[in-house]
Amino acid sequence: MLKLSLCALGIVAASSSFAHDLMIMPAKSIVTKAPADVAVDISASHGVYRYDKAVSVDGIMVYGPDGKHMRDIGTVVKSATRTSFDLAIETDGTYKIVYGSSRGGYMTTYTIGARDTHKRERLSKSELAGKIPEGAKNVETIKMNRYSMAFITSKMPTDAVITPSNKGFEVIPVTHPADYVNGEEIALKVLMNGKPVEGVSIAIKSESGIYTGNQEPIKLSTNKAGIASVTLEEAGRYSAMFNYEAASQDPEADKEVNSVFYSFEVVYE
Amino acid sequence: MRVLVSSCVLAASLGLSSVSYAASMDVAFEIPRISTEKYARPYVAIWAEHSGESTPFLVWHLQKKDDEWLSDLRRWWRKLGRYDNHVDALTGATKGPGHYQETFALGDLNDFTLYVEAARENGGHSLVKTKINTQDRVTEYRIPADTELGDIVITLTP
Repeated sequence: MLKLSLCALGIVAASSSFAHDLMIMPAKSIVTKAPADVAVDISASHGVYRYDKAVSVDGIMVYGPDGKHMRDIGTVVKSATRTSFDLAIETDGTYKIVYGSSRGGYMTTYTIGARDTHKRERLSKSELAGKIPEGAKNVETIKMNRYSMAFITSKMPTDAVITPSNKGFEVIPVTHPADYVNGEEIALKVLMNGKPVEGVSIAIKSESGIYTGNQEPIKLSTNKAGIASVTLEEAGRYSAMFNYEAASQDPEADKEVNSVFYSFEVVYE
Repeated sequence: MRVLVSSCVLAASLGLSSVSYAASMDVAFEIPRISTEKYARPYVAIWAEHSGESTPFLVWHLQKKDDEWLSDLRRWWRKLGRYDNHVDALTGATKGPGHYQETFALGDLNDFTLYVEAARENGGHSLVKTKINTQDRVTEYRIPADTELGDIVITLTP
């Protein structure tokens, strides 16, 4: 029970600072050419480019330069703090790695008792009857859609994996991830079922913040066209967290929270 | 035939009216002697960028079948290397400290930025550039030294 509620806390707190950030950490994002093997670690972590908790092996999806889901990614090892595999790059182009739970998670929060104690249960609206106490107040069910992504480019960048599927909540690189250079603008676009989403909050944290003492995230928001741009003066590794709440399209929830964790590398020039 | 002749004359007169049309460019540069424990000869690339396009001139790199470090010439890699667009450029093995001079035909290039990039394993990285316009009556351009590249002198010859 304790385990369950800890886990639930991690999921529901996606929009708060208590959340575990999902972090896909490839050893490098630019590879000269195939064949090559790139180590990839995935962790649910408290810090940027740190390891805290392993993630489920089933939630890892890799898309090749042709845009197709790669069924075989070799051996995946789940250890205490991270889930790891070596991505075998056999053809040149851009690969996308995604980690997300296969099913959308539901979370119901409510308050109970004289002290208005906050409670959470992993329940959808139709599952609530009899599962939460009578007299529960402020009952709200959230549908969580949460995933992380990263890109690796071998030799020539390709676009198949950065082409929108126009399904669900998507973060699409406008500037190609193989072209992130310090001092040059990086643009990203957010879509919901193919339509631009305005007002998505984005917080970008740098790995170097751990060492420079400045861990204040850079905050951005998408414009009417669903686009947000940033120019990063320092090369290095970054993690951008996209967060967007909206009324639920799904009758099983009151609202939905979409979170995308995008880890990327900015090269120096 | 008459049409052809007259258009040639027109082209010639246009050519004369523009002040100078450089046919080639000498690039004299130095790979500095660097005193370090594990010295590796640097990768060097020279190319031109003009209105979003790149023209390769030179790349010196390890002459191995799979040279996995080519992408360390970072800007050159993004502009040319990863597209295999340097196949027509002068390629060669890496070279040690010394003075070098190479001559490149300019073709129809007349307004461009010349880039020189050098990257050394376990060492530094230099990326330097200068704008060049062959119409400007300037025949010599200089780029001051950086950590991995000595002074560079570019001379245009008609």
